[in-house]
Amino acid sequence: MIIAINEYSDIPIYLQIRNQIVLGISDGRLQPGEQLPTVRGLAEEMGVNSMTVNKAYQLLKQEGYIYTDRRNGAKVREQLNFSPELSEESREALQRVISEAKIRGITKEDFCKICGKFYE
Amino acid sequence: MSVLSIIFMVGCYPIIFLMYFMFRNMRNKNGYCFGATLSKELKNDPAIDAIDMEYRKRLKRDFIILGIIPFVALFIPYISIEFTIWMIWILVICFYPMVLYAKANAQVQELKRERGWEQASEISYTDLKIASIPRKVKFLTFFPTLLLSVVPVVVSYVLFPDEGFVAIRICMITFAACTWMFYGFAVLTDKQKMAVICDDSDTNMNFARAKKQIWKNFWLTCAWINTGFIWFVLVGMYFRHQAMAIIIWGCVAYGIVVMLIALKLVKKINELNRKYESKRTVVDSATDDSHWYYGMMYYNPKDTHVMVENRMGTGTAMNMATGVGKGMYIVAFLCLLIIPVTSIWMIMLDFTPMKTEVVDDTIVCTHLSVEYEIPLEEIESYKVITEMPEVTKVAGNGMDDICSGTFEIYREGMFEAFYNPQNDLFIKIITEEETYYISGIDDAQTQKIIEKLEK
Repeated sequence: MIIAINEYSDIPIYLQIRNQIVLGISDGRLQPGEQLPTVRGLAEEMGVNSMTVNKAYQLLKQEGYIYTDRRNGAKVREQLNFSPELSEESREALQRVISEAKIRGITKEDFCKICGKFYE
Repeated sequence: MSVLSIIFMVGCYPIIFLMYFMFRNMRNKNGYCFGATLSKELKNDPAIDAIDMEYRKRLKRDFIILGIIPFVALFIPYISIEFTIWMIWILVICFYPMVLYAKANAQVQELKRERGWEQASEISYTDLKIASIPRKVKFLTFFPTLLLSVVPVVVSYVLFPDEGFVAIRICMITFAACTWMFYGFAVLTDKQKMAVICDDSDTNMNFARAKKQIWKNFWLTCAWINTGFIWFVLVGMYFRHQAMAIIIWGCVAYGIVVMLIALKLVKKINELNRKYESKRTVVDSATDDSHWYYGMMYYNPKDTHVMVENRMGTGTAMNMATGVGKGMYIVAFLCLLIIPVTSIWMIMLDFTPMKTEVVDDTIVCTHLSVEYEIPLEEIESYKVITEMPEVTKVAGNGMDDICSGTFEIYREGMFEAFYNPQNDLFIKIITEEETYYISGIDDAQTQKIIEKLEK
């Protein structure tokens, strides 16, 4: 799986890494149980500080997307047991996007189409 | 033809072919066009055609002219001038193609701006599979060669402890340091970011793995050859009298072998790039044009990599924003500075006449500065000789018309030299502390010293 990072984005790099990995899990590019690179390995390859990658991994672990153990490093969780509802943060983000779409004049049908495309 | 000419012809002339083949095709190297990011379609634009044609034409024409210059140097009777020509030639051969490349890069950038082609983005791609590849360079792989590079230095101290081998020992220590440096470069190359060439992780991983393997093998081979050369020098020390000559010719052979290995590396990397060129769909723009000065110097404070793949195709570039990168550039600059300094020093040596005279009951030997002062009262004995015995230089300079410094006569020991080897009259002076072999700039000047000594 390829991670694309924009160094000049307003979103912090650790959050970009987290978002990309979540995206990878959702679209199947990262399979359940798949091994992730070590914090050091990924930091060296990306050319960022180890703390940045560590922060992203900690967040992913906290959110339940990955698990880590000392011997095997980080892996994608085999079973993602989330309740079928969005987190408060995601709701807020979605609301923001919908508001923006409304202001731009995107109809509900078009918006749902876009959502459907991404969902698939 | 002097020995220096042969050494340079054999050891340095092939650089011209290496540089020409390295810089010949820059239109499509690693997905870049003269170090600038351009899509495949834009690389075939007629404007790029024109830049490429002009670049190739100038490179070919100027390299043919540059190829003739060393042959002119063969007819120059002054060793210092010949040395200077060769040094300047090597510098020009190494840097001139970069100037042409930088010029072409500037033209492509200008074209991009004019036509509004592909605005630079700051997206950096990292393949998780590449990040999972274990490091190819391991200390244990290099350990035997690192250890064996140090052993001859230690052995030389035990077997040849006398001062006569100072210069050779410095040479050995320098080469041993190079073996360790090669290991350092191997680690840095192994840690450099590997390019993401397409969306398929397996392809990216195979490409990165192959490239890392090629680089590891290159540095390991260099380290072994270097270590082998140090052992060769140690063996050369047994032939005491001819040691320096053996080592100089060994250096020439070493240079040729390293150059052949470098050529092989260029060939392998080019083959690998060609093999994967059709699969290349992604051009990593994180290291985009704004971070690359003239398409070859990399400066990106946001990147922690010390070494990155360069855009010229084969080698690597140092990130000038890192401490190590800055340090390496300073070291490289200082190394380059040695060349003009050495050349000027050699010209001064060659064109400053030596002078030996008696001033206030002291024999004063002057060249660039006062080299020796021998008070007459300290002289225990002296002898006029008409032919110098065979000598070996320990430290100092041994040019065609002046030998000065510490020299050694086989089975007789070391002495301080200040004579013109072209003369027919020499004086061997023995004092309580030293033995000197001196002469004037010519026999007349030497004769005057002899007369003063007789009085």
